[in-house]
Amino acid sequence: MSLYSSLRWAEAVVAALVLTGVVALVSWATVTRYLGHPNIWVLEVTQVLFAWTCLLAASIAFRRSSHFSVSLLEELLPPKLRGLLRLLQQIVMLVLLVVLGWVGLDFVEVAHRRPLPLTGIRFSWVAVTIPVACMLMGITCIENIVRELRTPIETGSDEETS
Amino acid sequence: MLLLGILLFVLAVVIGLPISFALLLASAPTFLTGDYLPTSIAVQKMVQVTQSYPLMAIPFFVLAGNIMTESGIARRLVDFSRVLVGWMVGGLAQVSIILSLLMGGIAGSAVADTAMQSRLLGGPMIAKGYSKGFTAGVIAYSSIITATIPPSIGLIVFGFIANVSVGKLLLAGIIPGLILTVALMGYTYLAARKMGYGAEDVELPTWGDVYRSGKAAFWALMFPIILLVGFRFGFFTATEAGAFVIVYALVIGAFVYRDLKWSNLWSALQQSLSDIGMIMLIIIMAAVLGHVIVLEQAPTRLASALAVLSDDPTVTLLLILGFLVVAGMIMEATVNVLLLTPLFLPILQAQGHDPIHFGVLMVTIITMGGNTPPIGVGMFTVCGMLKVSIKDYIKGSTPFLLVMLSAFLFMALVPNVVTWLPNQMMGK
Amino acid sequence: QDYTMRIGSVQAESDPIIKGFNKFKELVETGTEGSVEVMVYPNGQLGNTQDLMDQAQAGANVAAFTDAMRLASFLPKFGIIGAPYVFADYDEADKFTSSDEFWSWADELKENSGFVTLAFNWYQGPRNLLTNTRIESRADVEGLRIRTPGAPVWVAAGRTLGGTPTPLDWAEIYSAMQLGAIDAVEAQPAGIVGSRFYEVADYLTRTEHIQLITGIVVGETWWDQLPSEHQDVIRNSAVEAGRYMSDLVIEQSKKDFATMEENGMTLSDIDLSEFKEVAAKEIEALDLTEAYENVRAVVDGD
Ligand code: NA
Ligand code: NA
Repeated sequence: MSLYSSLRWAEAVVAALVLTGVVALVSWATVTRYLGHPNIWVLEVTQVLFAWTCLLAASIAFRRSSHFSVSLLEELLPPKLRGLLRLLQQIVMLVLLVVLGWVGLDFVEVAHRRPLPLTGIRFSWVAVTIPVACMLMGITCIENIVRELRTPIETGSDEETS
Repeated sequence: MLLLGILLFVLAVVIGLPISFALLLASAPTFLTGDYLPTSIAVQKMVQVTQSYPLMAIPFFVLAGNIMTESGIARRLVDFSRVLVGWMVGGLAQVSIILSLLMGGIAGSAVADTAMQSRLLGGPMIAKGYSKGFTAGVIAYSSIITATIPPSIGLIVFGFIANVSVGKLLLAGIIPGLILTVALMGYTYLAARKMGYGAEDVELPTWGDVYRSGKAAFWALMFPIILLVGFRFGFFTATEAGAFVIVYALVIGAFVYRDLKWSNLWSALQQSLSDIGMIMLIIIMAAVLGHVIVLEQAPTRLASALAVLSDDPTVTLLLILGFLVVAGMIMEATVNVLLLTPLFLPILQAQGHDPIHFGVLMVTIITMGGNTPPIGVGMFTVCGMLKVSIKDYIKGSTPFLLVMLSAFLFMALVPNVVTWLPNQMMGK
Repeated sequence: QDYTMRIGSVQAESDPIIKGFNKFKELVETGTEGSVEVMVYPNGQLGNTQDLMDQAQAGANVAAFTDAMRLASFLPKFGIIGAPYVFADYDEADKFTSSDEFWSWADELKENSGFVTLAFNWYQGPRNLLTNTRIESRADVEGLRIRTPGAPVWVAAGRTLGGTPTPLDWAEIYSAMQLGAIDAVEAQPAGIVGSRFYEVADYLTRTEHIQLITGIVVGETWWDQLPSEHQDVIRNSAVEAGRYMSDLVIEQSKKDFATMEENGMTLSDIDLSEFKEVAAKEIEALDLTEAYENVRAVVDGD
């Protein structure tokens, strides 16, 4: 298995486990409260897992290109230019992800000083989801760029000659 | 900076960036040039979204919708409604509206309802020949009913801010919710007849048919009822209800219908993660932009310009409601309620309006804004999950928007439809 | 002006907290002859408490309005300020948070967290118990699921009352109380009236287990660049505005209790000795006995 596909596999498994964990913990909290023995730490752990669910899921959606967009220009452009537009999209997103990931690391530093009150889990465990998601999506971007550059040479060469 | 942000947003959308990235780009200028804000605060705003407990309802209902689809619950529900209302035109579309009314009692959030029904009913509807735009429109707009039927998170938030009785507000939402239900069903009936949707079996079903398919769909039909009962008797809260639907769907799918296998579960999980990622990233990025809009004091400036326009109470109310329609189109619902209530309510109360009346209208209108361009989480959700283009969505959903606006106009001009029930039950 | 300070809270313009902020603004701006400007943001315009604390820590010129329990994550002994049955009333709390002992704690807090304390005498009233059953002794509370915020000191307070502490998001309390997912809530008068809990609870028992005292903190990055004469003015203004605000709260609380009665709640007193005994054990279990003794030494001394 290539590095990229094992990364994708690991991400899918971890994300599924985390989502299942959120559902299980919230159900557990409901039942125990009903029975009169509520778990006081569950809410905190759930919120940490919820952050991971959201951001890992964002990366999965990004890999599947299911983030919602408006394909207005792409439909209008002649087929030759579409590849170029896709390349531009990926590059702009990569830049945004790098900047956000970088700024996100600053916030991780701030968040690391704050322990969650009951469990003592550092808030950086939540904050770090942003740079991690940026990194994962950035890798997908690079993968897409490489694929775009490799696909039918004629598109690219047409561009340069015409 | 806000202007530059808007420009960047439009540019990003046009070149085809995902909406979430366009939202991020729109808030970049304010953060990168702001005189006082450390840039990392943008990240803090993102992280804060993932710490909001009520928002967890969204992933829950998405996963529930996918599990119900994979476990045969959805299929049985669709079969049963086909037998029951298949002779009627627009049957499945009507199911979507009724289901929103029922789920309104549990799912406090319109987006959660939209997301679940996109998976539960969207696919079958498109397969049965409903146009994509119409399908998306009916699912998105019927979910607004959930914002009026108690417990509505929006109404509770309004009650706290406006300092009016939450109990009264929740009661006040019921009749408007029913009015919206009837209005949407009426339009759906007419539209479906014109376009020939549904109505596959010409003959009326026999009691035998109804019994057989009803029996097959029994556990599917019980799920909103069991939820409603569990909620009413204090077993779970509105957010926890979402987790409970999942457990219910798992148990029924695996042990009663025995259609749910590990492989179905795996694909339901992966499909859900992809849906959740799409929706949550939009909400996360919209939260950052919402903060920027507040920092630039855009709503305050606009609202104060509006406040001086008229002395006539009815005209003032309509102007303010019109403003809310526009504000709802752009900003996220909770932000709107938090910011605009303190600005508008005093003006209206001074002119003799009942805050309960205004509250119900405000919360519903603001929630509806989530279904309209240019920015709307509900719209992005349904379009993203059903792969509907914005063009088709606008075409299919605009009639629903107009129906809803007429219903609001009626409720604005006849305050009694809102205030009668709470005044009857709890006194003036 | 040369410096700007932003202060915000989730309350509305009419709330004593925002009135206190406006007083603070007036005092700082006159005291520094306009060199430091204070901008007040009501209605959660800048974000919630945690947002503002993060912003301050990240270096923004933002002041956060916070209770002691949040700060206890950084310096555990801060928790004693919010622990059950430590202060009998506002005057005791004010006496402690004006003492040298308290300001040495504030220095330790700065070391640990980067938060600089401006004042910690902003009173929000006593926390009391709300239920739908009549409470005549601690035994009546046993087995009730009582909603408390999720921090160790709050949880201990819930146990002190005899209930089973249950964490729940503030936004869900109203319907959870109404439908019976929880049996009890504890809150200060303004919180009860602001969130209209009197609509979903029949009884208020004056347990007064916590005298809710809050304060204002800023981040050290911003604070350290201020000239020291400005720092003195800002601190003194924060303390003075805190007393002004606390008087307003005490006045407002009387009206709030009247509002609760008008809305059909039954308010009753209860013998506190049993609660106080348990509180002492809870404080010991939290490892706050030494902090408790320090506080009482200051309060009881002259
Ligand atoms: Na619906
Ligand atoms: Na919109």
